[in-house]
Amino acid sequence: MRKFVLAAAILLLLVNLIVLAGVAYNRSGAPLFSIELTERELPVRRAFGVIRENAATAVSIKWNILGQDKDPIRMLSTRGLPSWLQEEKLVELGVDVEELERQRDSSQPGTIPMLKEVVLVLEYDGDAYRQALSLAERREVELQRQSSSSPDDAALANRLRILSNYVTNLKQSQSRLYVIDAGLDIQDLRKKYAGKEYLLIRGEISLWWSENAVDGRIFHLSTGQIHIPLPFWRILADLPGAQGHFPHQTASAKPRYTVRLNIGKRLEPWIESVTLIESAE
Amino acid sequence: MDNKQKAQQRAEQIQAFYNEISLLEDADMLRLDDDQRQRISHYHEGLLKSLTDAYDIDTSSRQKQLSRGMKIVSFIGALALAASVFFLFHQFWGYFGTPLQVSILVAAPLMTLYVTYWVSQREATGYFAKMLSMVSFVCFVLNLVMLGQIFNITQSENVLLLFAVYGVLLAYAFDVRLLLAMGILAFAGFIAARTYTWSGMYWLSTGERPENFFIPAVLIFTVPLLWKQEKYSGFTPVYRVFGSLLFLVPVLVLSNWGASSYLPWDPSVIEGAYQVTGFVLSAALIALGIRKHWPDVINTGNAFFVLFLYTKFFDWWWEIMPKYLFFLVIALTSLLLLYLYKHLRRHSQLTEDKHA
Repeated sequence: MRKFVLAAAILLLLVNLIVLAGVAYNRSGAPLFSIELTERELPVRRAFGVIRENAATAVSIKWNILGQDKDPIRMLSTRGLPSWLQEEKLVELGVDVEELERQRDSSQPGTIPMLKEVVLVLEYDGDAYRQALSLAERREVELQRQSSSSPDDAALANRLRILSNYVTNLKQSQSRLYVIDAGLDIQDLRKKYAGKEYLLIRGEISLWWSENAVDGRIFHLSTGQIHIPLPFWRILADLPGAQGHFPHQTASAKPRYTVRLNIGKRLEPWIESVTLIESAE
Repeated sequence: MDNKQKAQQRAEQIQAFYNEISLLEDADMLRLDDDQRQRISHYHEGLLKSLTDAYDIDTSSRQKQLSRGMKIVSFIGALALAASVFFLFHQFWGYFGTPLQVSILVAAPLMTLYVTYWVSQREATGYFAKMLSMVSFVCFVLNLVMLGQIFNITQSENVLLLFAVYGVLLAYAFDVRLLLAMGILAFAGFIAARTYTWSGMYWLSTGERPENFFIPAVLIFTVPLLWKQEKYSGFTPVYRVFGSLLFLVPVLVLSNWGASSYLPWDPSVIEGAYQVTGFVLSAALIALGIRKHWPDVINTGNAFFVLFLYTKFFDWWWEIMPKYLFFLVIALTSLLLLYLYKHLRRHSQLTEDKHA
């Protein structure tokens, strides 16, 4: 018995040492990326059921994509096909598209989503966000014109109302973080995306067969939520809506805090500071 | 005696011996003289005392019933204590600073391990030590999971290997079959996930390819063949049953969902192939179990043979047959299987009599 107990104790000490050494390495030196985001991009994680006791100790990362769909609302759905994740990019990410297409004939399309681990590039308040906003506003203007020439069309009026709310949401409360690229080599991506508005985070893309091709979607970010250390979560815990079941954000709500987010050498994030936005108090 | 199970079997053998002596004496078939009776009784008393001192076995049916109750209570107690630790962490976690959180997470499994060892040295039954070892395992799981959450560490399949190693070490240290089972499952998950990542895919979706579990299933089944487990009660059947389950459950899944296979064939062909494999494998396990006197393997093989058979019946007849007829067919098949087993049993009895 003694030798097993000793081995177990050594295992416990060794594992914790390695884990904490990894954390220290990730946070050693200057962070690879450091960016100030708002509640729009990092809302307090929803609390459900028994986990409620632990509410406001983490924030989620909210992100968008510019999809291939022409409708603005569907285009920005995170479940859509990113416009940049075409076959060429999938091949670059090491997916054997030809082999998958060969297998399609012997398998049912769309049955098995395969997941591929990659490094995702997120852009904050950049070209992707401005393009999304511009497309949505143009569509809104178009619908307004159609609605004014057909004032009795209730369905049209309803679509216009939904789109107007959506545009307001995009301007005031939706995340401005957009996934714009993916790769396998961190150094290559760092060279390509050296500006302050970029982040690299590990994530997975899912591969599906559709009727004619192999499709790729952003499945999720490996770090979907980020722990808030004690002194900072007290700030957020006092905010209305931070402890409840439903997110505070509505179409007209503005962000109430900013978060300084760092990404370390192993692409693991941590929160350096949280500051309330005075105008929102 | 190598382990508690064998010691318990020996005690039951002695009890059965006295019961048989009593019946033979009532039927005037046997009469022991006083000297023989005294010497046998003296020998058995000494033997039972040494077995009780070494293994804390049950020497009467009342003790056995109480032990069964103690096992159930200690299992429920272990689960409840583990759940309590889990929710305690969640209740107060947000009130601790990071250094205190890390200290608690690192210290919890170490302290519970020490307490478990300390208790095991002072308490012969082992029930309290088994309970505490479960708590230590849960503390280790929380240790790694919550460190991962606090420091936003990227998930990796290596954590399964660590859970497996710690679970198995505790199982062998304190003779806990439940922890051995959990260690085996974690190990199987690790091997399957690692196999999947080598094919370039993300480990968390390893369950979508059931064939990833074949290799760990074979490895686990063969462990008792390479490493004798006599000192540990009931460990060998755990390896064999879980090895069989980890192979047969994926075969059952693939026999109904061929699209999840690695094989580049038509899904219906794959399903057919795995259905045949399922039947053949179940029958092979039954035959192996009979030959080697492994009742656990026989029972697992039986259960899956019946499962494959009834799944097939369902595929063929559920839609086209009236329900009363479908269940009548199931019942008649069960009777046929009973008849076959009875015939096999009788044949086996005759063979044993001949050798005797």
